[in-house]
Amino acid sequence: MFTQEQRQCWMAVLAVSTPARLAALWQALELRADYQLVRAPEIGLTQLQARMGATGSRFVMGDMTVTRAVIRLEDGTYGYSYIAGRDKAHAELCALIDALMQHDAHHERLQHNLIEPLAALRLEQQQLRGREIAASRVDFFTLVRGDNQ
Amino acid sequence: MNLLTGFSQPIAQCQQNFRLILKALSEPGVRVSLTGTAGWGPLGSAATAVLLTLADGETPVWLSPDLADSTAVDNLRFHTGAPLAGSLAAAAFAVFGPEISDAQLWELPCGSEVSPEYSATVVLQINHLDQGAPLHLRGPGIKTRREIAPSLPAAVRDYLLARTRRFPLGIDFLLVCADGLLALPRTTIVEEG
Repeated sequence: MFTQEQRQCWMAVLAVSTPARLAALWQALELRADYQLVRAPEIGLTQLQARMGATGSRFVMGDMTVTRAVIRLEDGTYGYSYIAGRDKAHAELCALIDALMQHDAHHERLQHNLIEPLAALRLEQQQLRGREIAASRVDFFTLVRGDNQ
Repeated sequence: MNLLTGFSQPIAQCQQNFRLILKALSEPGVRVSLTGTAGWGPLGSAATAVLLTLADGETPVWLSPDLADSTAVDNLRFHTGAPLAGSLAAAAFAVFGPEISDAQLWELPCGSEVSPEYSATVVLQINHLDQGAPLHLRGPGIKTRREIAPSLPAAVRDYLLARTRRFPLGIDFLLVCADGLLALPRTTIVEEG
């Protein structure tokens, strides 16, 4: 069995994965599994909440599109997915991967060949974006003026 | 947790079933057939289809103890997101099996003069829709008279024949059996056949 934290990690990676990249990695694995759709992929909105500087008071930042799906493997394992965007096939595939990740037989292989490359790509993109923002940083200083003393 | 399937085409099947429930309510006594789901545990396919179509996060659902097993409750919560009503008085939909008492019917909300829509809809799962004692229906949606013969529990039969709550107050009944449904809205006058 896997802990809730482990599962949160791989579901978080799947949630923000790009459909094309995930599909390419998945096809390379050549895994087959029979499953049933418990909740057919459906598109909805979710409200985003944020804190200024991660410490300020909470505010509503806006809505984002989310697609979710739930599948059941033949042995009764459930796979859930909540992904960013409107790609239903992608949501279904993410749910299937979530279910397979809970199996010892597939976990290691999926973790090494699918989740880790996606997580690395995500980290790289975040760092790139971080550097772009850092380069445009402006610091404001208040200078003491002599005329209003 | 034993999750079963809901509608395979949620939007299309919800719309089809909504249209059929509307037909049943506007032509009381006409039997329609709801499809698209196999039912969840003790809930038959029509009762399940009604809940999938009508229940959502804003409609507390009350399940009678003989129907409220874990399969029914888990799937209701998962597929519809409807909260479970703590008491009959808080229910928007009340799902009963054949075991229903007079006191339970009187505990259900029947709306107010200003907002009669805050009344409960009773989904009554019975054994037969056409093998009980005959009843005659009159009222809106019925040209002259319509005859039905559902095998109603005694409490419901007495309630329908008496109808002491004055219009626009009252509760609406959806009688379901397997995939069949017929409706008895509060406007229908029920007489013994």
